[in-house]
Amino acid sequence: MSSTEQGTSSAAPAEPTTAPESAAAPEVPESFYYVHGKDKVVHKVSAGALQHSALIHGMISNLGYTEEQAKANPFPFENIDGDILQMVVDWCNQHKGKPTPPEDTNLPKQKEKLFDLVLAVNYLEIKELLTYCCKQVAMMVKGKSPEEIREIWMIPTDAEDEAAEKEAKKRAGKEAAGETAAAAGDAK
Amino acid sequence: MPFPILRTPSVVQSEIISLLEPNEIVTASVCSKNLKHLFKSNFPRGKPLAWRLTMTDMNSCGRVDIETSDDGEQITVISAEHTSELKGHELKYINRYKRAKKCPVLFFNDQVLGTKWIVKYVTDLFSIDISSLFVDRNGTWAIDWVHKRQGKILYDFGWLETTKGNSDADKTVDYVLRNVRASNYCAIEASVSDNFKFEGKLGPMRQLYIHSNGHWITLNNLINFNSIEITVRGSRLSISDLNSFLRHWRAGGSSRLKWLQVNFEKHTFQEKFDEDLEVVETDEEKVYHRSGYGFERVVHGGYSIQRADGVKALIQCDPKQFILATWHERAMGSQQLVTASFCSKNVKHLLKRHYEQRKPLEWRLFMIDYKSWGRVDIKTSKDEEQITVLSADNLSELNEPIPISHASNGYITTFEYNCLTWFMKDQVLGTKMIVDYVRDLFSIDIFGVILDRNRTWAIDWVNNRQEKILHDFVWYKTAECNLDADEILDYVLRNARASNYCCIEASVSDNFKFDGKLGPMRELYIRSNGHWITLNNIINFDSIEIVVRESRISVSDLNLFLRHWRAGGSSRLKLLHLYFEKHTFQEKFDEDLEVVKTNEERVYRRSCDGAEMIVYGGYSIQRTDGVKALIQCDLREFILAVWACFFFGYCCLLKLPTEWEVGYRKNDDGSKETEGMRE
Repeated sequence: MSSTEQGTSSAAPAEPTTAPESAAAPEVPESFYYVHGKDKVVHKVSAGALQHSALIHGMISNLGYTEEQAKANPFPFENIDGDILQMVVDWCNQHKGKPTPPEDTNLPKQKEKLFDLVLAVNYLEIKELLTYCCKQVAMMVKGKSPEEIREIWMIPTDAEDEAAEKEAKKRAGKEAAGETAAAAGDAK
Repeated sequence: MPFPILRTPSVVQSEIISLLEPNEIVTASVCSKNLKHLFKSNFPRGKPLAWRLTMTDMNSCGRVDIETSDDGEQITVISAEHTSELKGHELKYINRYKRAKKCPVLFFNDQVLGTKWIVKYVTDLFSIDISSLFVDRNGTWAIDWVHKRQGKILYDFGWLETTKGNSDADKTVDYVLRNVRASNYCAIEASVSDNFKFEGKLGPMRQLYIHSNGHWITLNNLINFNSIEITVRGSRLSISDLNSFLRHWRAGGSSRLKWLQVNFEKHTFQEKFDEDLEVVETDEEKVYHRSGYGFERVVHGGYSIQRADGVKALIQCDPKQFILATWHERAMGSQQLVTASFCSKNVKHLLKRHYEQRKPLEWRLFMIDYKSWGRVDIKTSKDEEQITVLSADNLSELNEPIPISHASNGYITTFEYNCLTWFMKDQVLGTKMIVDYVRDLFSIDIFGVILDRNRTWAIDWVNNRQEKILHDFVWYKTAECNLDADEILDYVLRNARASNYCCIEASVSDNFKFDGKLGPMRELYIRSNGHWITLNNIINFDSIEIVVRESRISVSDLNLFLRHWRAGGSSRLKLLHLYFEKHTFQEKFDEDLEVVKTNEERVYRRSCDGAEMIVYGGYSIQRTDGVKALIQCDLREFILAVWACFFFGYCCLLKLPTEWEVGYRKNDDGSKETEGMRE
C-alpha cells in the first residue's frame, strides 16, 4: 500500500463529516529502501511492501531518507541468507497493500528452506508470513505416527536427550574445574 | 525435509502448537519428554482452555476425546485397550499409533488402569478438567474416580447398558443415580428389573434422558427430578399419574421444567384429563427450541393448559407418547406495560397507581446513552434478560420507511422490536424524558447507567435526581471526539458513584494522572488504557476487586503495594488483577515481603458475575494478621487473590452475600476446603 492510499483510506471513515472527497488527496511518490542479506546482494523494496515487517517498519518510520540516502544506507541483515531474503522480499512485494488471504498460494515452495525462512520471518517480525509458514510446519505432521513425527521434527529420543545432557554436564564440570585450576594458578 | 522444531524460537513454537489439533499434540507429545514439556508449557494452568474433554470407558475400551469449539465435533486424542485386543500381535506393537483413528492406542493388562492413565496424561498435558463422562456398567468406577479428582462438576454424563441380563443391574443403576452429578445432560440406559425403583433425587441439570427401559420412572420421580427437560422412553406411567403430575405442575411444582416427553412401553395411551386441570383443546402450534444442541421441535398441541401464575403449556399426545411443552410467557412484561401506558392517560394513571400501591419493585432500571441513542432497559430479576422498554433518538436518524405515529406526548414516535422510540431534535432532552417517564411509571430509581464520553452530563443529572447511589456505572470511550479526554475522565472519576460495579474505558494521554479516591464499591474494572493507574491509585481505591488492563505498574511498585497490604492496607481488597501493557513483567519480590513459592491452587468466585476463576498460585504471601493470598504472575499479568481466613466465619454469622468471602482450596482428592471452615 502506498503512503498516499493509506492516508486517504484511514482518514475517510474516521471523520466522514469533515473529510473532503478522497479524489482531492494529492499523489505522493512512493519511497523505496534497500536491504541486503549475508550475500551482500542489495534489494530495492518499497516502503509499502516493507510495512509487512514490523522490525523494518519500526526502523524506517522516522528516518525520512531521501532516495540517495536510502540507496547509500542499505539495511544489513547479515544473519539471513541471500536467497531467503529474496523469498521474503518477493512475498512482501506480492502482498503489498493487499489484505492477506487465509490460505496463501504464493508461499515459497522449497521445503528444505522452510527452517531458515521461519527464522528470518520471525526475526523480521512478519506476522502473516510467519503464520503461513507455521501452518506448513503443522501440516507436516498431520496423520503421522509418533515415530514419523520424531523424524520430521528431528526430535531426539529420551535416551539421546539424556546422553546429551550427561555429556553437557560432563563438559561443564570439566570447564569449571579448568577455570578453578586457572584461578588457583593466578592466585599463586 | 525435516524441520527441527526444538531449535526454533519459543514464539515460533507457540505459533506452530496453536495450529495443531489436540490429537496431533497428544501424538507428538509421546515422541519425547522434552517435546511433551514444550507442549505442557504452552497450556499453563493459569490460562484455562475453552476445550472440553470427554472421558469414555465402554466396551472394554478407554478413550479421551476433545471438543475444541461449540460445534460439538469431538476428536479422539488417545485410547486404551486391553492386551487381549492385540490378537496375537507381537509385544513390540504394544503401544502403537492407529492410522485410522489418527491417535495413539495404548495396550494394558488392566484396562481400567489404562483408562485412568490416558485421562491423567491428557488432563495433565492440557491442564484441563474432565467435562463429560460416558461409561457402561463396567465403567461405573469412573464416577467416583472423576468426582474425587476434580472440584468441577461434570457437564455431561452418559451411562449406557451394553450387555443384557445383568444380575446386579438394579444395584448398579441405583449406585449410578445416587452418585452421578452433571450440570447439563444426563443420559441413562439400563436394563433393570421390573421391580426396580429409585427414591432419590436427580439434578439440577438441563436435560435428563432415560434412553430405554424407563418403566421404573414413577410419578414421584417426575416430581422430584430437577431438570429443564425430561425425556423417558419405555415408560409405564398411566393417565392418572400424568393427571397428578399436571395438578402438581399447575400448582407451581417443577417450575424449571420446560419439556416433558414420555414415550410409552405399550402404545395404548388414551388421554383423559381431569376436569379440574382445565385442559382445553387447541389447534395452536409452537416451535420449541430444545436445550441440548439447539434442536427445534414443532409441538402441534391438541391441548393447552395454564398454570396459576400465567405460564402456559401445550400438550401433544397419541397412543405412543405424551409431550408437555411450556412457554414462560408472563401475563405482561415490562416492555408491554410501558407501551400500553401510551394508550391513554387513564391507562397510564391506572398502571402508575398500581405500582405506587404495591411494595417496591425489585426491577433494575438501566439508563443507557451511548452513541447518541438513549434507552431505558429493565431487568425484572437478576437472571432475566435486560429488555429495552423505551428509547429516544435524534430526529435526523428517523428512517422514512418506518411507520410513524404521534403518541399522546405529541412527539414523533415509531414502534419497532416491541419498543417505542421518541424522535426529538434534542436527543439529550429525549433521554432525560424517557428515563423520567419510566421511573415515574414504575416508581423505581435508576439502578445502573451506561454512558459514552459525550454523555458526561448524565452523571450529575442522575446524582441530583435520586438519593440512592447507583449500583453499576459503565463509561465507554467512543471513537469520535478525543479532545479533552483527560479533563473528561478526571471529571467522571471525581463525580461518578457506584456501589457495585464501575467500569471505565478511556483514551487518555500518557501524562494523565488521577489523585482522587474511588469507592467503596465491589468491582473496579479499567477496561483498557490503564496506563494511568499508579501505585497510589491502587492503594487509595476502595474496591473488593480491581482489574486493570494495559497497566504500566512496575514490579517495584507492586513490591511497595504488597508491603502496604501486608501491613493491613487495602483490607477490603480480595482480588487485584493487572494485565500489563507490555508483556515483559518479571516477578522479583523483595525479601522482607516473605513471598514463598507454592503449588497451591484455589478457586476464586468473582463478585460481579459469580464466575469461578482458578488461581494456580506460584507464590503465596501472608499478612501480619494471618490473612493469606496467592500470587499468580507471568509476563502478561499479575494476580493477587486474597483468602479471608477469619472473615469467613463472620460472613456466615452475619449472612453476608457469599461472594464476599469464598475462596476454597482444592485438596489432592479433589474435595473443596474453605480456610475458615478448616480453622
